[in-house]
Amino acid sequence: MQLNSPLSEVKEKIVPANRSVLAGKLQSIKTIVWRDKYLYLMLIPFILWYLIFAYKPMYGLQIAFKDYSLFKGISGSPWVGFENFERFFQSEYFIRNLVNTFMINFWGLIFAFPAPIILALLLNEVKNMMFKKTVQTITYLPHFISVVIIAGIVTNFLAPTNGIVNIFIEKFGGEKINFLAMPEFFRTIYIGSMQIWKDVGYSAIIYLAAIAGINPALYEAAKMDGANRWKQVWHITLPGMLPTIMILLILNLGSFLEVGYESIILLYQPATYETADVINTYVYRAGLQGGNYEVGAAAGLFNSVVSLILVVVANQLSKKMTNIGLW
Amino acid sequence: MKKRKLMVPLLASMMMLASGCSDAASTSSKEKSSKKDGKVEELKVFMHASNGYFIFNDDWATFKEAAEKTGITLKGTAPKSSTNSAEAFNLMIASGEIPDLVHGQKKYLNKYGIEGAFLPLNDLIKEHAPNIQKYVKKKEGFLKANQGPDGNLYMVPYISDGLVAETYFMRQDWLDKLKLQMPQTVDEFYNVLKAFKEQDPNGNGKQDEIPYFSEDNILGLGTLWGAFDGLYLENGEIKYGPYEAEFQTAMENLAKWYKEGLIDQEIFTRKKAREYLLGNNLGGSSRYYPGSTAGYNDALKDSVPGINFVVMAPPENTEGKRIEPTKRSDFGNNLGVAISAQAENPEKIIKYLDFFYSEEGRRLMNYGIEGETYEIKEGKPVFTDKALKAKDGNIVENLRSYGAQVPFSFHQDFEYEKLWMNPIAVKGIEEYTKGNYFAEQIPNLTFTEEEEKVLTDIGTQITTYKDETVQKWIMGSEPVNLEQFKKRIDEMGFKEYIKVYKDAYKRYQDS
Repeated sequence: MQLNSPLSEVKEKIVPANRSVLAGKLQSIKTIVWRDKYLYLMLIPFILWYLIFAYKPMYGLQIAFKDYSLFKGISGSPWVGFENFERFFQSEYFIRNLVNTFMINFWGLIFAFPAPIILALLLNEVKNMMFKKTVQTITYLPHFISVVIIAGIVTNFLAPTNGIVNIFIEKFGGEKINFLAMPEFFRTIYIGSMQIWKDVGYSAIIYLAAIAGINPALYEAAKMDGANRWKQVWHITLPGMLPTIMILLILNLGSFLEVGYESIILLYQPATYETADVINTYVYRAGLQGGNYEVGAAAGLFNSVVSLILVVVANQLSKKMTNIGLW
Repeated sequence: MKKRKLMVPLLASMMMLASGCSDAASTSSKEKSSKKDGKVEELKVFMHASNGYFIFNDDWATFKEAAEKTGITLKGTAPKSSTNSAEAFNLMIASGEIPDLVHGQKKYLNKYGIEGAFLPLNDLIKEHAPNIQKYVKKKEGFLKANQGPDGNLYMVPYISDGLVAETYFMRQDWLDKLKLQMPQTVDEFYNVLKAFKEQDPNGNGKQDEIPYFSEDNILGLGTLWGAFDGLYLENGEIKYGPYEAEFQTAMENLAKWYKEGLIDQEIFTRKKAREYLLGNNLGGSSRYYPGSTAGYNDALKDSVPGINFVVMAPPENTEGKRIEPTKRSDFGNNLGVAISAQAENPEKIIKYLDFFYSEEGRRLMNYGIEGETYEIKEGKPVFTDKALKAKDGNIVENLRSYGAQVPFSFHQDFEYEKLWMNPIAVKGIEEYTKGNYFAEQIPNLTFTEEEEKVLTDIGTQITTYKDETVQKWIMGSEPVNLEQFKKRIDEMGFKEYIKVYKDAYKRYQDS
């Protein structure tokens, strides 16, 4: 890169290093942008999407601090400070709901998160293609069933009088159990049905894709070194999947305060509130969703702040421990 | 929730665009129609109720008929694709483009009326709407139940008719088989349920009968021991049922009934209980809406031979009273039609609404089109075969396709239900009305915004705790302990909660 004008040469002397580096950078950015112009062109719709659907609505976040009236509009509604947050936090049940939300996600992370990884590993070891494809299809189908129907199936299976589970229990001499009315079973039922049974096959696809991306030469080399199947999984397949696993884990943590409350509403009832009632279901019952957007916004903002902290912490930890991170 | 928060402004702006488009479309059609016929004026109406079950349909025959009488046609603006009425209503408000007529819930019409979205109607009605004015003067609670907390009336209400909400039901054929009498007291009721449990009335050799089941709240049975679920009125005072001593007795007894298998063990989880338990000849007694419940006698007469599920008077409770806790209230639907503050000609609109309160308009909205859905016989409207022989047997649905019996602002006529209901239901309703078994009802109260907040914040906590505790008591996982229960809800702010109701009730009486 050359600077022809004498004037700029003078300036160059005054601010020697910075200027040239900056100009150089600008120039190189230009060339890079020009080189990849079609890629950038394709990027435009997505940037627009973010601007319109993610950034512009942030303007509306201020209603969390206002006594919001739809008729008066966002700017016309009066400020109320933290009143909406107080309303959201002050309930006797806030702590319980928060803990329940965490617990469902925590146990989900322990049991439901590894499930598709294990399924993908198992499927990968299957030699019979026919069998593999069949299993994959069967496990993947429930994803497309509506949660309402799944809840119906679960309720029927677990019904105390004529549910199939209780019929078995009785046949083997046990006492019938009213599963859906006992708080101690709720998390198991919820995670088992809504998270594992419904989604295990679907989530396994992404891991299968990750496994497919591992270089076969690594396996050949391992075989030469005498590694058995188990060792191959442990030393090649799992490390190969690790970036995918870590990224999904971090993303998962980002929604730690979100629980699919529609599916909980279908499965819970007052007797199981003790373990089943989460923030979103409580807010739903309070009727806060019908028109009380300001409290909803306050709850949403609270969710977002907690999620952000969790994602940042998880990302830092992940980078330290495995060198894999989102950014 | 996060998603919704982001969606609202976005959808609102989309609505604005959409309403902008429909604006242009409707003005052009207005021009067209005014060219053809100078008299007809087109107004816009928003109506989206029961989560999409009632969305204003421009083709409703009753409103076309009304147009001929009044010179005003309505054009619906509510999105037909939406299945969430509250959301559709909120989007309409947020768009700032409020149609001439807005149908909605009292709570919201009043809220935005006070903020200036809708016109106060008191003077308009006095000057231009003689038929509505008649109701203002004569119908008990017309103003009290519907006006906003500022004392203005913002909507012309939908008024329902008839007194009976839910009733007791009993398998008369099972009673006959076991040679039992219709129970008259709570003890006899218990004995009958016990007999249903033990003496195999369905005759399949198994003890699989479920003596009492319900699709509704089990606490409806509480009045058998003088206890109420939730708020109720006693000697002019508002009380909270679970806070009264009777509740302890009622819960202990219900827990006993549940333990002995007299109450459906799946009462809290079962969906479509009537369909399953009556259809499989298992259920013996219940409480629910008579119209639809009695209908199972017709629907099941082939699959369950001899089924005779009849309305039973409430058994005398421990205090010797027959009490049915539910009752239909005139303004219980809390629906009505408001006039937009942006409307150009409010006098015309109130005159239009006045038509539906006239004899003629009332008949139109109750029975539909003369010669099509009903005809006059001996001075009374009678449904035609065309109305009664609906495709899937649902007569109300059929009438609604004509735009009759949709909860617009008019006075429902209970006679219409009697014309098609199963005779068992009609007889039962007459019996309940004659016996006047109904508990005193709390009128439709109006709350200020501050009070609404208390009801939401404290009320939800109390209800959560009550629902949870009651289920544990009944299912026997915890012994009934009312004192502890009262202490807990006191801590949650019960005093403040009940005070809101007492204040609102006092305002109602004073106004």
